[in-house]
Amino acid sequence: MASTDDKVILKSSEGECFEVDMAVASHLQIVKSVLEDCEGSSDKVVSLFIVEAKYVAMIIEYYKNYVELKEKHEEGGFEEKLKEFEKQFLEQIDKKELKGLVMAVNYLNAPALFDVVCTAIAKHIENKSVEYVREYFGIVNDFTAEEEAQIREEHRWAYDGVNDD
Amino acid sequence: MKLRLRSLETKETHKIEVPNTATLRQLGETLALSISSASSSPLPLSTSLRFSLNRKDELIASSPEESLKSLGITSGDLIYFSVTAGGVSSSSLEGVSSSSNSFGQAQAQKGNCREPISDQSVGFQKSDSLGGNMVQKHETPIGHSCVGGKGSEITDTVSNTQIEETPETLGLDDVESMDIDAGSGFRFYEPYFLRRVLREELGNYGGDHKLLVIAIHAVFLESGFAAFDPVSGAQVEGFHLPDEWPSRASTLTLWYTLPKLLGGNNVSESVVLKFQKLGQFLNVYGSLSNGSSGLHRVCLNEYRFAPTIDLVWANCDKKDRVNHGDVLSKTYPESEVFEFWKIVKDGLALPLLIDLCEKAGLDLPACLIRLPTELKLKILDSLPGIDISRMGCVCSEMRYLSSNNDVWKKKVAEEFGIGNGAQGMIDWKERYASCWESKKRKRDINARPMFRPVYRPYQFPIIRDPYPLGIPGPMIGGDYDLFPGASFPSPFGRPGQVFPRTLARRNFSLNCNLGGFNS
Repeated sequence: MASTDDKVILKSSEGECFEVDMAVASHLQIVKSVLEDCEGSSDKVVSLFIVEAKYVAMIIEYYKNYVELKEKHEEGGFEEKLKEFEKQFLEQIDKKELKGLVMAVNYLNAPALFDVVCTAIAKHIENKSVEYVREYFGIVNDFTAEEEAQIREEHRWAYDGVNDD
Repeated sequence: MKLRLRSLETKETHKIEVPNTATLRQLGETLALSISSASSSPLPLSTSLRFSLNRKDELIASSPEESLKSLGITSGDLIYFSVTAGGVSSSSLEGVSSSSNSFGQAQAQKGNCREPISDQSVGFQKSDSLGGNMVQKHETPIGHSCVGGKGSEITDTVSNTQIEETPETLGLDDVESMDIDAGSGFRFYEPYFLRRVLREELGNYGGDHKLLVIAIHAVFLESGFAAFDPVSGAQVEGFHLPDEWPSRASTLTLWYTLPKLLGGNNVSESVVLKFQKLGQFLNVYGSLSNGSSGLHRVCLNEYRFAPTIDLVWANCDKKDRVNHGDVLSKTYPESEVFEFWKIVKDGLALPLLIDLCEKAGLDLPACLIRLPTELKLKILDSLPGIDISRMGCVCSEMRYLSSNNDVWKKKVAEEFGIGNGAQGMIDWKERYASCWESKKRKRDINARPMFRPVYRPYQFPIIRDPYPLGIPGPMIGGDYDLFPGASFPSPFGRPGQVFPRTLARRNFSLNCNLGGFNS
């Protein structure tokens, strides 16, 4: 098989193209299913309409490393190395990007990253006030004042020692 | 069961408890005992006692073994009794033979309103005056249960010839007067009567399908949609399903849009839900009404979900709406309701909401909200329990998710290491809260300052001999840090008894002392 067969092009919402090894792209369920749907066609471009280029880049980076580490540490130690890499990986991502990333990961359906980003988001909102969480995610408070007061009263035990930044 | 028995002559009420399997005879004996113990009057023979639920019709068991339950009596009922026959009005006593049947009939209605006609012919003995009005009477029970909510009161409409003329009005009068009498017993029946009315409202035909349709409607409302009428463009507040499911070939269609898009005569963008039933399954297709987006489909098995939704209904008025999630987690197989919610939410409501917002050019819902339930739960799972409970205050959806019993079960196991082998229904959130409280108390105690000068002057005068085994070696911590040179014995001889307020210090220093002994 020609080497181009092992590549796939991912197109971000801005139209930026990323050429990715099939081994990497196949971890993204959406890419896999799109390619399966149009099997036989020479066109190997997958448009990711709603994913911005920077998130595509992040996800590709993650899976590149994932694949590499997996090859390198076939006989063991993969988990630890991956953990190490994940830590580095998350360090470059700020809290705003994290939100975008989780949406992108969800859209691309990349299971290995689910845990990583969900844990990162959880870490971020840990020990934060309700108001902070609402603001961070842009959630509209749909409780009435009485309802909210009641819920807070029920969970009084959970409201000390929050941190608002 | 607990029953209240009121004398027709003296209006005196006796509260007695009888086993659930008790017969009328046993009830009489228990009552006789209760009466004779309360007063010095001679013990009446149980045979001279007559019971009635409505003061008119005597309760008669068709066989001596027939239990009270099968006579239509349930715990909390108020039963009238008369020691002599004169107490119960003569008209009803004349018709005693038929009145027992009327109870049988009431019972049939209580259990299920489904097939009243067939019960009727069995329930009534040939009573000419009643025969012609059977159908009419059977229209009243629903009205009754709405107002009175007491199954046994249904009998008021029966076996009294007056009622024939205006069954409804008279029936209501009777119910009202009974309500006053029944007092606190009334509430007891509410869930069941509500459930029955709902059942009736839903009709028997296609009932389970309708349950599911209404439950899907609920998920859509929760997701921020509003139902509307495609012709007038007006929002539909409560919606009424047709009495009968449309014919097999056709589908039921509901229209939804966002409240923001409502107003004016035509709703620019909307989504359409099409319901199609296939045996026990209900297929629901959702798409934008102009068909410009993909089709979303879920398939729901009514055998699986209808019973739980039914249960929710049966109990839905027990608590405020706000507490609904909690109620669910305590009383039902919560996971089934949750599963239903998840399927409809992720499979229909959420994708349609996103499609609709995009199409109409509205801001998309918050990013966290747009994530599928699975990922939301993953995030919650990664949080410590304390933060989960705070997430419950963020919005109603988070509140529902954060009340998930499984999440809390996991947290209790993770953070306190208990409960893995626990069986049965446990409210894990409550368990977590109590574990957290006790942990916090402990932490607070440990976090107290080591020295509180205010207590010091009072500690020295109570020196006892704390070291019966001799003076221990050099120590670190406690008062020894303050007075390193001094080798006076610990001031905490038996402080627990003398100064309970210094409990914390005692704990701390005890640990140190033990270290001293051991080293």
